[in-house]
Amino acid sequence: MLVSLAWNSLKSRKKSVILTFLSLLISISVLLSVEHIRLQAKESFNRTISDVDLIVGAPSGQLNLLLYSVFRMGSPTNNIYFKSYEALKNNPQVEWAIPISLGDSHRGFRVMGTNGTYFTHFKYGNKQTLSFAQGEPFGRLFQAVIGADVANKLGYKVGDEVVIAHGTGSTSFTHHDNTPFTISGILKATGTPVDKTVHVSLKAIEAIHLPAPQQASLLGDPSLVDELTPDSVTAVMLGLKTKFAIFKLQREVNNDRSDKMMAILPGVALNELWQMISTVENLLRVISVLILISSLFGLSTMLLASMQQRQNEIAVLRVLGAGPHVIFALVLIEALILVGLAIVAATGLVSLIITLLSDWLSAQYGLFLSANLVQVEVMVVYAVIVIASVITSAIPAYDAYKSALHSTLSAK
Amino acid sequence: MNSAAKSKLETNAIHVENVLHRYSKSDPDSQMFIPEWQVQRGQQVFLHGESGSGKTTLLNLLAGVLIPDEGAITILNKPFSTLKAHKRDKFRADHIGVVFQQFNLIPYLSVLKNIQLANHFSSTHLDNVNELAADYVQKLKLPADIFHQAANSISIGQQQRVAIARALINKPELLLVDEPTSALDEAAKDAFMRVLTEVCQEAGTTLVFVSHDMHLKQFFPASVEMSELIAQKEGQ
Repeated sequence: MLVSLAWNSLKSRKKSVILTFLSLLISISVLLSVEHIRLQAKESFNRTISDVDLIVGAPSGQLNLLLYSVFRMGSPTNNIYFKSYEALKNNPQVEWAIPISLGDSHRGFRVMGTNGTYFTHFKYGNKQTLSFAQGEPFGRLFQAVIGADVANKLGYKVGDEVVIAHGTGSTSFTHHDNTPFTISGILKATGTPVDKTVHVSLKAIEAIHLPAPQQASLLGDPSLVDELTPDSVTAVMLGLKTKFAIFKLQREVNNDRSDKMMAILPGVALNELWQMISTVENLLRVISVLILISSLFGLSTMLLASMQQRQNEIAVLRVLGAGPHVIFALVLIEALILVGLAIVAATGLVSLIITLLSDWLSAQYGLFLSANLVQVEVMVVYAVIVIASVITSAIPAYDAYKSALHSTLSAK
Repeated sequence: MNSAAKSKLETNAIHVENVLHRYSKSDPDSQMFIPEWQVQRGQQVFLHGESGSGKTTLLNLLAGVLIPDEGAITILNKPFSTLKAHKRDKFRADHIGVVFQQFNLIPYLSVLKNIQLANHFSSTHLDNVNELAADYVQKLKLPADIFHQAANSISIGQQQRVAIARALINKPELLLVDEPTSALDEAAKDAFMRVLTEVCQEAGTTLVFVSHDMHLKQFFPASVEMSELIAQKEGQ
């Protein structure tokens, strides 16, 4: 009865209630999305790469190397020699080495040259290896393996032909038209940048960049493929036999005089990236909390302002036998109905927005967000919102309580 | 206390004894003192007084919305004025009906919800609120389709009659009414008064009707002047 009373009371003040509701909706949505994106981004970042001990590339910054080699963002500054990769691969401390070569794209998706070790040794998430939804790794020269998002977005299936463009933009003027690739396999979704990648062999990368006459002869005579060796790779991911060797090998790589190289620890680089982001993220959190507080004060103000016109109502409830605590509860219930509805609506809104934007976010920022907001941390946010609204609406509720104590029959 | 006095007490609906109410804490002279006043059960009393004579204050005291600074008010043999606040609220919900000058209803609720609300706060949880309400609506000569209209969409006269139905729904022993006709025109006033006294008669409800309008006195068998009740407190 009290809830229905509160609901009807809110309905009777539609205009101010709707405005307050919208203000709550916006502020709770902001808070929820900041919190959700923060949590998901952290998870999404951390699951991107797993079990890789070192990444070796041309010297730049460790963030830069991490961004282009793992997140496929930005551009590689320079390459390292192919023989350096071979040296690393043959190093006694190294268990496996995955070479990667970047710089081309297919309709906005990055193309990465690599070899078979990628499909057997690259790990993401909780040490999961890549697995195929359809098909198999590339065997012949002009074959490609595509990530799940590439397949979904462009509607590709095994056997389709794709043309690779030079450069990493989604529109490019140099297409490697003479050398179309056949899709040999499609990977299962991983929720990492792998889903957005077109994988080809290192030799294929080399082949599409050959001058036209050589390319023609190569296409004419497949036996020439074996003679094709790349000069350079963009980076190498290393798995070591023992973790104790990591720092020793890192030092060796950094001091190697035969090639300009640097080695980074992905975990350390991820952490640095995360710390950079977390400053911004904390700022966003503070701002969103402030927005929430201001709209809760708005709620409290709306309820306080309505008290004047509700003197009669309170007097009526009093003579019907409602004690002051009932009046207090009534105002609190009104506030909680409003906040509750705003929480539900905000959850829906944020889920919808994330669903709509997830492609763009993953393409632009490598963020893989789940639209499912119901997680423990988000529950904590809900609880905080409810507690904060109880505290702020206690002010008008107490006002109503006091006016109920002093209300008399002569209410005019 | 002898048995005669005791039985007399038991037939009292209201017993006011040495009640002192101070209007303001800072000004001790601004006060109302009632040495004694009784209303028997089933009686219908017209309480007359000019504006400012303290009649609404007395009604507030009787309804337990105000508490006397001194003295005691006994309602239906309960030491009403000394009950704890929440017990007094409960007692009011169960045993006392109140009708104001105006604004008796929650404006945004339907007529039916208003009546149901009165039952919600009392401990007599009726199963047949709706039938009982329909019964009163008929007796109070209200249109049957009024139930689902919003309380603020019907006329003042209708609102006042709905207020009576609302006040009587828990079958209270005591009905307190404060200038209920002040917003009504002459014809509506008479019709309202007749309906009110009839319904109370039928239910055996004790009625205390407060007004400054002497014209309304004709509807009551007994009347009392506010000035007769009030006395100067001795020793002051």
